[in-house]
Amino acid sequence: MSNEGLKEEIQVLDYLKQRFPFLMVDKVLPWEKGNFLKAIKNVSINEPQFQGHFPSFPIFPGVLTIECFAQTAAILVHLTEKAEGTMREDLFDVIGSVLDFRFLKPLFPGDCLETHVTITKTSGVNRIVEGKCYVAGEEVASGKLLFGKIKAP
Amino acid sequence: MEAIEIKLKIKGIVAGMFDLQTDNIPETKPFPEMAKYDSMRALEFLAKLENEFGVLIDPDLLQKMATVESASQVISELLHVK
Repeated sequence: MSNEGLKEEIQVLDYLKQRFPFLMVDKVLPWEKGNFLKAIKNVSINEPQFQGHFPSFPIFPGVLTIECFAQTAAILVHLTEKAEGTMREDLFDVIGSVLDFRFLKPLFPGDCLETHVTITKTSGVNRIVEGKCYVAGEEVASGKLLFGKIKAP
Repeated sequence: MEAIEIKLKIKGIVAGMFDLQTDNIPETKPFPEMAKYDSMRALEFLAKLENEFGVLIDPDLLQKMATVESASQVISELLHVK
């Protein structure tokens, strides 16, 4: 590709509507145009879920790993729609299905979760995004999400 | 894979998606007439077919796969040309 090496800096807050305490992406790694994106979330003991999950044994909830995956995927969908010119302000991304998710290792405070996502199928406004999560280069989770749209509230 | 086996597997997927018994799934009733069916479920159906049969399915083929009968025909063709 002629624009190889040209990477775009993506600001998370410009692409996600989630805010504290539900923002699960800290940083997007420089994005090379395409259907692939990498993002990072640093798991901190300061986060509210650790008050109860679990008081004597803080472990990052698997559902929040899915949320982190979903937010990374939402950024990619957003970027893709922008590139395609198919973005619609009146529609809102929602998860339609959580498919084939596997959790291979538990996550703990201090872990740096790196999520890699790819759009593998598109049908109208619906898309399937597949990906994997890594900590220190080791795979900790993988799965697919089905994204759809609803009318924005 | 025999056509009857393909149909049975498709019925299993449909049963799981729509909370039905495998025996009660009509082969020629279009999915859009089923409760809970929408465009998102269509893409989910496609993903589950790909997993089950190990084939890649172009989303454009979804229009041709509106019933158990027609979906099994498409899958048979994909399996044979693989």
